[in-house]
Amino acid sequence: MKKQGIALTLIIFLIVPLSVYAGAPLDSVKGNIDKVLDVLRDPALKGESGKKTKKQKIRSISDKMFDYSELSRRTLGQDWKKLNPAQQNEFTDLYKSLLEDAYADKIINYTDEKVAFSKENQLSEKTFEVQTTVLTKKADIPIYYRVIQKDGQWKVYDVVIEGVSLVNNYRNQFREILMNKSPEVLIDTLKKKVGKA
Amino acid sequence: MKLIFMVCAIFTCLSMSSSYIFAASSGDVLEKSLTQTEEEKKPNEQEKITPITDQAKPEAAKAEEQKSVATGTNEGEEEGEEETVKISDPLRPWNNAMYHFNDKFYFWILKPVARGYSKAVPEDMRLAVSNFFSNLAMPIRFISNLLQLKIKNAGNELLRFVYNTTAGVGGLADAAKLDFGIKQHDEDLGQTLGSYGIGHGFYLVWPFLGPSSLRDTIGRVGDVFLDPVSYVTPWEAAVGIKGYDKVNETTFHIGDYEDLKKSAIDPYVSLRDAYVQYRKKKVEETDTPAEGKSQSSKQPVGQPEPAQMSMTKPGPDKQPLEDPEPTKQSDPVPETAKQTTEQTESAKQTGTFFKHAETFFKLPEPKPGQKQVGQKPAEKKELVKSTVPDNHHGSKPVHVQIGLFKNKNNAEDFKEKYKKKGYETFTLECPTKQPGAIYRVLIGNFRNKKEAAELAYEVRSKEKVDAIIYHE
Repeated sequence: MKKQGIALTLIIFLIVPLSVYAGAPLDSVKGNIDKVLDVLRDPALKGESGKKTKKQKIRSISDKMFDYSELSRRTLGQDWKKLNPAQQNEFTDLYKSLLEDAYADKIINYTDEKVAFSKENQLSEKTFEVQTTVLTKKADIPIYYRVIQKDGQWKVYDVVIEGVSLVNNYRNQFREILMNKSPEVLIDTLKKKVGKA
Repeated sequence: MKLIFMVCAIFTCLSMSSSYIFAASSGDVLEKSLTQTEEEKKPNEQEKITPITDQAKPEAAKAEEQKSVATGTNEGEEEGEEETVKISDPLRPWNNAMYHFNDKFYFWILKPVARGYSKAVPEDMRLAVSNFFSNLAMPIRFISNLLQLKIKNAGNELLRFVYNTTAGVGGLADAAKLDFGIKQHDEDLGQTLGSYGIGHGFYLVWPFLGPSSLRDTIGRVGDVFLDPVSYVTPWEAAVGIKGYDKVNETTFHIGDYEDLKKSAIDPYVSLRDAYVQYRKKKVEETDTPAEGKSQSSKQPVGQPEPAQMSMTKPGPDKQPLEDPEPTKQSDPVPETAKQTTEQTESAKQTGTFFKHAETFFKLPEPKPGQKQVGQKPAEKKELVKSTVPDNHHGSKPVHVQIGLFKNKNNAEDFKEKYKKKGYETFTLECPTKQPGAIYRVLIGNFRNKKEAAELAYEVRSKEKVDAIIYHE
């Protein structure tokens, strides 16, 4: 009897995480995007003043949605080790504000676009790709979110728009700088770009 | 391991010691191996390296690998690293000049013109113009699909052309997509060359036309011959029409290039990389038939291995293809899958033919309601499929059989082999009338035959294994 009980608990423990696991990356991404869409469509936030609050709200959602340190580490790849820990932190912060500046403005102008969530693909043990499509009048744009599990949560570490990976795109740009120049130059360039020089 | 590095080294040296043009003829695979071993090297150093480094190269690469294994913790890095696609850029001065030319052309001429035009012409009309031109360019897509042996897509393109030209009033409306959900299959000759394994060669920026590569330029020249607009006379008129098409297209993309420039540290590099990544995806899309994709890509997690089936379910003796009634019950059991298929070869060929014929002319059912509504149930179905065992509603699960064995060990080996390739394989023990049993190696777990047939078709074409449908 006792043995059976133990076996049963074991089985339950084995099965339950699996069923929770399935679909979690997609649900997590969907949850965050729905939140963003809610903010964008909020009728209370109209006009210029509304835009500012919209930006703030989206920023707080993206803070939870993205894993910026993972994103930074993957962007620099092997070059990541060329930076000392302080530089790594500074880089992460600057890179984060660069991305926020670049994409928050763009996202804010979206209102009537619909997002369809098609499926999730497992990339590795810890990473998934959640495939979504933004449906516009002109065309359907595939946007894939790559997520990694950290502390029981799914965090985005790369966004792939029409096959173009954000991380890979920036990696090539940063690598070109780090080839001939020191990490300080990279950080200065970023500072200038973000406007914090 | 050693061997792989040797091969990589030989390839890299070959490609480096010869001219860049040579690199053009070698495939993407080579480009990839180049980026993996060459990660640390500057691209402009590549020319200087002589074959003397032949010996040193794999050593260095190995050392690098060991280092990363030793540090261990950053597996993610390696993963991201592999994906980097690079393109050689020996004509950078020219490309850079052309990039700046196009940049000015866009901001000074194209954008203002497109803006003025889009103010004068409402969006719906511009969409109609866009549809008209893309309908007209059907031959490019039709031929490219054919050349890639994507018969179904080519058939769809033909259907789309006929339907859109008639019901869509000369191609002004994409009626085929709206009414039947038949989407356009964007293919061009550059992608076709890519699908044959031909690499980009090198990056090449053209004035007015923008980013391209040696391969895609060649493809583009071919496309021009397939584009009906090119045959308009006088040639000035043809250029004018193409210019108008370009302005009309630009109205839908105002802001895209600005965004790229705004977000980029180095817009030239960013655009070059975006081009290469975008084309890579386009080429890869052509590698697998679109409909089999949902099965081919990794299954959603949490799919329970239907292990319990290997003991309990006694299947019918033998099941050639899709025939629900086994015809010959007590045939001597064949030793390997190969033998079975010899018997069913002809049946299968007709089967495949019918599948082709069926899909070639079959229109997808009209979608009820909005697109989004149409897409959601599909998603749910997939998730349900992955978590719930398949014995619902009394319908028996359908699998794809890739092997049939008398010997259990052989079956297990075969199963493991395909498991390593990423398939969800399992074995099923089936008793026979004679003493002993046969062992089926199966993949997939479907509710209906259609899905299984798609997977079987895909496995057949991809793995060159004789996959047939099996249901209990």
